[in-house]
Amino acid sequence: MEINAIDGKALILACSAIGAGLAMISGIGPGIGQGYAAGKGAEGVGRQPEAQSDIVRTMLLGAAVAETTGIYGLIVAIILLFANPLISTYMGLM
Amino acid sequence: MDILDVLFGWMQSTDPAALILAFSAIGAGLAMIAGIGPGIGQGFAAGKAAEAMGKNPVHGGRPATLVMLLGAAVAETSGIFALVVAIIMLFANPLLSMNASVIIIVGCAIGAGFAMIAGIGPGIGQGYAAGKAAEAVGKRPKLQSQVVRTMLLGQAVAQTTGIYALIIALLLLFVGL
Amino acid sequence: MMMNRLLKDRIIIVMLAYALLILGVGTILQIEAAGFGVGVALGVTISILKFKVMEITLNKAVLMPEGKAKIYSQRHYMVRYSLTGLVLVVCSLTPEISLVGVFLGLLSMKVGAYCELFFMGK
Repeated sequence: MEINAIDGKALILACSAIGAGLAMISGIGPGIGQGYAAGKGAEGVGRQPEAQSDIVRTMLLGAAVAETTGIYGLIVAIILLFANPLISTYMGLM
Repeated sequence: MDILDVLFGWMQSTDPAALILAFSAIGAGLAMIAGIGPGIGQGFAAGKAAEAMGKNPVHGGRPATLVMLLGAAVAETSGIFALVVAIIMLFANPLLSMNASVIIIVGCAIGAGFAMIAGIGPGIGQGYAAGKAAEAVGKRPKLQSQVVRTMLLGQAVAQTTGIYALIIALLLLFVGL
Repeated sequence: MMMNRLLKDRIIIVMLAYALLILGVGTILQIEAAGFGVGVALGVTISILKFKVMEITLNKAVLMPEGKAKIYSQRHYMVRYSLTGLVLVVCSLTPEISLVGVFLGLLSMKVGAYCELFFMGK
């Protein structure tokens, strides 16, 4: 089994792709949380239909907070894929 | 010996700087997995606050929403820790100037990423505490200050494991082995 | 209902104020003036759009049975998440738009939600 010298830039790009995929996993957290919140909200509205606007307002505040947490993972994945600072660091070293 | 050659032999023929930077990318990706925790926790808190609002809309809903927002803000921290570690690895990589053999530095990069996954635990736990506190305040709005104090105390204790993870990750990144 | 609408306006006002604050700080620190401003404006616009879409989604979801509401809101979360990802991809491929600005603009939703802590406490 002979692997000739791997190009450094290609190796960084390949590992960046793996890293981006791993970072995207964090996106499922807010999804699970918002699903739970929506289920509880539906339960609450089923019990007290006249409080719908208040319940939705509370859920909206909580969901807005949870939604932004998922963006952290997304931004790291996008940086790794499209604006990779490691490549420019590597090119600076050469 | 053969299998080690197959697994690690290619590293000898690769530029060390490229190896370190490449595994830093994987480490940054691993660190961001911690973002699952705050997401689930904050969603749980939102659900519990919505439930409290449905049970007692006149007196309990407003304080419950406030407590939920406060608890969600605390649950956020472990996500921010993970983001900080990932940003350090991407933009100000301290591993490049480390004096050690390449395989150890590569291990440090991946290890720092794995350490930050621990942030899932505090995120979910603090969100659970916030949800239960919102439920309690919704039932008895008069006890709001006591409930908030207890919630913050519990969340501070829950945060310790996340801080351990952050310390280990920063030690691996800046001090090495 | 009126109070409800007022509250949502307040969050959006806070988001816009936050955008102006960020722009001011960016101008003081002289972060690549044009691209940064465009990025923040785009991020805040997407945030407000997402907030409104989320409101419609949740208003529909709470009228459903519990299990169905869960799946419905999760599916719509994924749609919003993909939209955010698409915007970030486009911004990272366009050199005229600063990625940092878009990220700070997208965070405005969180700032707006947390500011309720101070408004509601009074």
